[in-house]
Amino acid sequence: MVAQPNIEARRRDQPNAGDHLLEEVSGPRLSPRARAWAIVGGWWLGSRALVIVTAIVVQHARFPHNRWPSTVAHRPLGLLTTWDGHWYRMIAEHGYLVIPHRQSDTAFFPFFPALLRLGHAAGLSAYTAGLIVANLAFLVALIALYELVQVWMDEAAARRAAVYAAIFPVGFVFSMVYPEALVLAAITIAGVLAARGRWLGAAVAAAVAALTRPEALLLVLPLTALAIRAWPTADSRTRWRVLTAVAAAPAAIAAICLYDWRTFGDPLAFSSAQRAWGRAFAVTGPKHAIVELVRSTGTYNAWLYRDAAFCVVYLALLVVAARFVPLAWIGAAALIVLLPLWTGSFTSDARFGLVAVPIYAGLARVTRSRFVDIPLRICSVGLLVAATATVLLRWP
Amino acid sequence: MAVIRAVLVVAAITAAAFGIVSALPQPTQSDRIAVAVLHVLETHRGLGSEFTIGGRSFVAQCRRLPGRRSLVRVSDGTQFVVRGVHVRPWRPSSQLASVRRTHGLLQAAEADLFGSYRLYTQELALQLQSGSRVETGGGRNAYGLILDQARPRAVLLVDRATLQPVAVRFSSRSLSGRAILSGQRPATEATTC
Repeated sequence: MVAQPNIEARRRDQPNAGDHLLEEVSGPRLSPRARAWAIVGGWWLGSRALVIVTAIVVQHARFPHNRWPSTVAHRPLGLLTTWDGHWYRMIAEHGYLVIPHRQSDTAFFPFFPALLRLGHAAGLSAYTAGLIVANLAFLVALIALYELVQVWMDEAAARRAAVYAAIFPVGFVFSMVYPEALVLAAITIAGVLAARGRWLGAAVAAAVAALTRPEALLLVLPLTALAIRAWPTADSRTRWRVLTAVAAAPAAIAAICLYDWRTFGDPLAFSSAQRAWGRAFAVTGPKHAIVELVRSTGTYNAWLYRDAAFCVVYLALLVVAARFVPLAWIGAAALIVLLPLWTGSFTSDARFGLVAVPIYAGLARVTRSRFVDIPLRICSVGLLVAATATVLLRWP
Repeated sequence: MAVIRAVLVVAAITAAAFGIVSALPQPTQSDRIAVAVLHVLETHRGLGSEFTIGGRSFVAQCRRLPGRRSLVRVSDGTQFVVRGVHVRPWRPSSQLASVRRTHGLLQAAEADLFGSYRLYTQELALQLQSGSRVETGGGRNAYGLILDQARPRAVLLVDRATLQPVAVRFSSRSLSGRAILSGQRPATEATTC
């Protein structure tokens, strides 16, 4: 299912004032693709500057008060290194360790901390390395997202999708010591390369994604759909590459299972560790998630409504995107958003959904009109700043 | 043929992925010992201790209270309630209080010497979860697990063979103390902590 943009749609999809400014800066001699990349890069730079400046201001003002542990307060960009950043640093510096019945670092996947360790070996602190990796990976992710959405929709929509990913309210996570930017980059690169028939590259990207976050296992769905479509016309040289791309993400997860089994005697140590965070898959999970949400009303846990609201928004955007995006991608994205509910909570669903690529295509679709596009961009930027400023109140 | 080639390449991807995970630091022997000791501490409870602090000797006896709390009765009549890593005086008394006034004794030090497995569990788990991996020193018959890297320093000595806690050493700039632990019971018994 590929988009069939008409002339009217193209006319509506003219770049806005900000894009024109960036086009002027990037110069008229660039190819259309290079110009689009420059525009996307400009939004990356602007949005990341906004997140980082907000983090600096908030840290300087010690807002919110009494929420700043001394170790975080005295660390440069401490706000962006909090919550799970601590766990990734620990893995990078000390490796994995299972602490039975307690929160253990085995719940976190290894590729991101492996990069932190490389940065550490180059003389950077693990936190600094994490911030650099996350923010650079996000630039790559935005460009790959632009290319991937172009497979489904027209160029202007692809550009809008990348812009909305850059300023997405929960997108402050892409600048934290979290692996979401890296996994978004790997997932989108795998999608682009597979769509272009470059299967070995797609296989490597899928493996990297699966080594970074467990959600990437769901890449199997779109890659299988693409493989089925390519199979009849593929020669034998292509076919083994197609199979490799489909199997790469499960193979990477299998390697983690093998490591956990050899080291800790539990092949699913990464999953078992989730129980200490109160997460375990159960048939009654969604019911418990809703009960927990309702009971959180009026308590500090009411932050759950933020995650639940984004869950609803993601699902709505997926419905919109389903008209343009292949169903396998929609299915994978829906599972990324909905599967966490089977663990009995909406907790962090807003963050999990960030890597459900078609939501950005859905956003690009609903913002075809400038009357929707410009207010939504302003609203997104405001929410991004507010969300960054309140990181210490609730983990993403 | 295509399937065989795919299987070989997928195996190579698995091996490369395994190599990346394995390139991260591996758990050290000390880490493994600390986790095993944590298991002993979680499945058993202490009975108390005979401890010396500031040159005075005392006997501490533990009793479990509802709500994950423990009551510690010291031989001079002092009583403390221990919950997690927090210690609250319940019934102050002369001798131990005088030690506290003389040396500025931290309640954390007292708690470390009472023989509360719950407290050691908390301290050890916090240490492991904060990324400050536990150092294990000690002699031929015991491992010494440093419960807190900073001053005051508490070291839990456990039997090398059974990993049962046997003693505690406490040291700060102004005060030192040590305790011989009175033994242990399964975690279900009410007379332990």
